[in-house]
Amino acid sequence: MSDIPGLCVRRIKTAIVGSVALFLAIVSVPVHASGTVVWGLPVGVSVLDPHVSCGWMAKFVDYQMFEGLVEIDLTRPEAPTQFKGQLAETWEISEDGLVYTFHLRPGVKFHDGTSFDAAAVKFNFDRFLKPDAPHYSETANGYFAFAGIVPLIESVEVVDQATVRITLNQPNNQFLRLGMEDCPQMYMISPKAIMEYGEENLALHPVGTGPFKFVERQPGVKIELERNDNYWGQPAGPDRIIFRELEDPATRMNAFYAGEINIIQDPIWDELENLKDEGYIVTKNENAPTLWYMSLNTRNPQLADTRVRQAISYAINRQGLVDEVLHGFGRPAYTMLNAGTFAHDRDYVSYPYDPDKALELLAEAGAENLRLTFELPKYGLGELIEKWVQRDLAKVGIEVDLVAMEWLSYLDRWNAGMPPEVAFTDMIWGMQTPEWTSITYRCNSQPPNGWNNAWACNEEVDSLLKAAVRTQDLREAASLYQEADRLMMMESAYAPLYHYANPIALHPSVKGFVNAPANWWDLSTITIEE
Amino acid sequence: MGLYVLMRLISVVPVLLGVSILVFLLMHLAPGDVTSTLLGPMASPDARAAIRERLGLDLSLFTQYWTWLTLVLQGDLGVSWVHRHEVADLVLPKFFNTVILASAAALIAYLVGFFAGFVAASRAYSLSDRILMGVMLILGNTPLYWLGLILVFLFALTWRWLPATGMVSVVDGGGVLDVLRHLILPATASALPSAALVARVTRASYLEILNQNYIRAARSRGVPRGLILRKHALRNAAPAILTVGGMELGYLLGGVVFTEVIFAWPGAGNQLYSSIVGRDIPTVQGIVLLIALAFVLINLIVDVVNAYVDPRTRTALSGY
Repeated sequence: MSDIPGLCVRRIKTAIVGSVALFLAIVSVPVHASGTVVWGLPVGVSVLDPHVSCGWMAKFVDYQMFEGLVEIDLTRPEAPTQFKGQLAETWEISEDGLVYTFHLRPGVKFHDGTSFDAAAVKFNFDRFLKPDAPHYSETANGYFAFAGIVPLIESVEVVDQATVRITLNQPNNQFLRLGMEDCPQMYMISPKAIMEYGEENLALHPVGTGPFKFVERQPGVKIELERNDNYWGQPAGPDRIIFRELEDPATRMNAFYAGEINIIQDPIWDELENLKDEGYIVTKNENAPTLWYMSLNTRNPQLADTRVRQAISYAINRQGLVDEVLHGFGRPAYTMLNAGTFAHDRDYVSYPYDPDKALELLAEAGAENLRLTFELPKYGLGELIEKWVQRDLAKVGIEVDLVAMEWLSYLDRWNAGMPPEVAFTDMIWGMQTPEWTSITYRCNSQPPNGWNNAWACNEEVDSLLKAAVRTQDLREAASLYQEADRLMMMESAYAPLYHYANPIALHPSVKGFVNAPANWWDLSTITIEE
Repeated sequence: MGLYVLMRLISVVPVLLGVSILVFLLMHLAPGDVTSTLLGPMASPDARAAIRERLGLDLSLFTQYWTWLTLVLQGDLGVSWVHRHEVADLVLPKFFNTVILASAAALIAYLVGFFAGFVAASRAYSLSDRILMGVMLILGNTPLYWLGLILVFLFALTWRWLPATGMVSVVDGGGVLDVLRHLILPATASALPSAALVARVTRASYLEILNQNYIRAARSRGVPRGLILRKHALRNAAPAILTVGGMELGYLLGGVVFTEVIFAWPGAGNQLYSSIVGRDIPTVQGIVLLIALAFVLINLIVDVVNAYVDPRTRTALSGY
C-alpha cells in the first residue's frame, strides 16, 4: 500500500498535468522574425557620446548613428581602407598639408530635425578646442589632446554655410585618420542635443545624422537602433539593429545557436569549424588592424641583452599558434605595422620560427636557466595564447611563469610600464594609421605618456617616425614607417604574434554583410532574407 | 511581537552600515581604477586626473564615503560612473528581475525539495528513499555552470523548446508568457542545489517528528497515516523547513549571479559582477545595499512566520 495518501496522489497528478499544459502553452509562443539584425557583442559598450568615448564597441555602435566629415569606407573588404565623404561631399588639402577645406553636403538633418551646416561643425570642434565656449568639455579636450588632434589644430573657420576650413600648425598626413579612430571619435553631434542634455546626459540621448537612430539602451542588456527614414543617402537595409552585450563566450555561442542573435562577433575559436559544418557563414578579414603582441621588458636584467630578446622571437612558432589555437582565423605577425595600415608589408618576416637559431643566440649571450614572469589579463578562453608561448619557450630552455589577473588590475600595470622583475606582458589592439607605432614605440611614449611599456628607445626610430608623418607623399611615408619598423624589430623589445582575422559568424539569412578590415563594421548594407 | 519586529528593523541599520563600509573599502583597496573603464587604455594622465576630480575620487576616503552616505539617507543612490544612469534607475529594475528569478527558483526548490523530502521520509530507509535522496544529492552538488549549460544544450539547442538567453525575446518580446518561457531554465538551474537542501531538511525533520511518542499514540489509535503526515507532523516539522527555505531565498537573491551570467538574465547579480570588474563603486554599493537589505528582511519575515507557526517561538517572543 502506498504511504502517500490517495488525495495527495490525485493532487500531484493534477499538478503534473497542469504543469505540462502550462509548459506546452509557454513553449508554443512563436518567436517573432523581422528585418532586425541582432548582434552579439563580446564586450560591454562604454558611453555613447563620441567625443568622450573610448573603445571599439562604442565606436561600432556610434558608427551606425553618427557621421564625420570624412569616414573610412567599410563597404569594401580590401585593405587599406579608403576614405569616403560623409558629411563633407568633397575636401581639399593644401599643398603644404596645412589647410583642409571641407565642402559640406547640403540638406542633411540631424535625427532631431535640426539642420547640419558649417556652424554645426564649428560648434562640435569648439566642444573640445575652445575653453570659453558654453558647451566646452574638459574631458573631450583631454581625449582629443591625447589622440594628438588638439595640438595639431590651429583654427576651425566657417567660410560659408556649406564650407569649413581647418588649419593645422604642422603638416600631418594622418590627421584625417586620427579622427576616424575609436578614442575619441570625430563625429558630428546635434548642437541642439549637446546644449539640451549637457555632458552628463548626452550619452543617454545620442543624436547624429547617420543611417540609424537611437531607440533605447538597457545597460548591460541591449542597445536598440532603428532605421533613419530621412537619411540623406541610401536607406539602410535592416529595420532595426539590436546590440546585445554577451560577454560570456559560452552564453554568446548559445544565443547564436538558439537563433536569438543572428550575428556573433568573436565566436569561441574551437567552435569555428563546427559553425561552418552546421551551415552558418563564418567571415574573416586577414587585414584587420588588430595585432596581438608581447612586450619584452628591456629593463628586465635577464632580457637586457638584445640577443636574448631576439632568441625569444625566434623561438615562438607563430604559424602553429595560428593553425592550432586560432584555427586559421589569423595570420602570423612579424611586424608591428599591423595588417590594416597602408604601410604594412605582407612579405616581411623578421623572425621566422627557428628554435636552433634561438638556442644559438642564447648560448652566445651566455643566458642560462632563464625563468621569466609573464603578466597577462584573464580573457575567458583559458589564456591559450600565453600557454602556447610558454610551451614554445620551454623547448629552448626558458621557463615562463604565467601571472593572470583581472582586466582592470592588469590594465593599470600595463599602462604603468613593466617593473624590472616582469619580463613579458601582452595586448591585442591596433589602429588603421601607422602612427600607432609612434604611440607604442617612441622614446617619449614611455609610460606615463604612452604605451611603450617595454621601455624601448631608439632616436633613429623616432626621427624616422617624425619624418613619416610630416611628408605629403604617402609612398614615402610608407617606406619611412617600414624602415622604422625594421629597426624596432631588430631591437626586439616587442614580439608581434599574430594579426587577428576578426571572425564573425552569420545566420544564413543574413545577406550583404562586409567584414571590412576594421574593428567595427557598417551594418546599413545588410538585409535579412527570411 | 510588534516590539520584536521594531527591534529587528532597527538592528538592520548597523548591519547595512557595516556592509556598505566594508564594500566601499574593499572596492578602494582593489587594484585598478574606474578611469581605465571610462577612458580605455589610451587615456592620458591629464584626462584621468580630470575624471577623478569630476567623480570626487581625489577626496579623502572618509569624505567620499560620507558624501555617499548622506545622499543615500536622502534616498539618492548616486549616478553610475560607467553608465551615467542614476544608480536607482539602473539597479532597481535589475534587482526586480533578480527577485523574479530568485523567487521562481525558490518556489521550484520548495516544491521539489519538500515533495522529495516528504516522500523520502514517508518511505524512510526504503530503496525509493535512497534513490530519491541520492538523486537530490547528485543534482544538489552538480556545478551550477555545468548544469546550466547542459539544460541549455538539451532544452534550447537540441529540442528548441525554450530560449537559451535573456528575460524576454529581444525582438518583439515581452508579456508574462514570454518571461515564463525565459524563466524556466535559469530558475530550474538555480533551484536544484536549494531543492537538495530543502529535501534533506524536510526528510530529517519529518523523521524526527515521526519518531515522537504522540505520533505513535496517534497511530495506535488508528489515525490514518495520511492525516498524521499532513496534520500532525507537518506543523511540527515546519519551523526547520521554513527557516532553511527563508535562508535559501536570501541566498538565491545574492547567489543567482552565475545563472544570470550563463543565461544572460538581466539581473542585479550580473550587473554587480560587471560593476565590480569596471570599478563602478556607486553601482556596486547600491546593489550590495539592496541585496543585504533583502537578506535581512527575509530573515525577519521568516522569524515572524515561524513565530506564528511555532507556539514555542511565540512564547519565547512574548517578552517583547
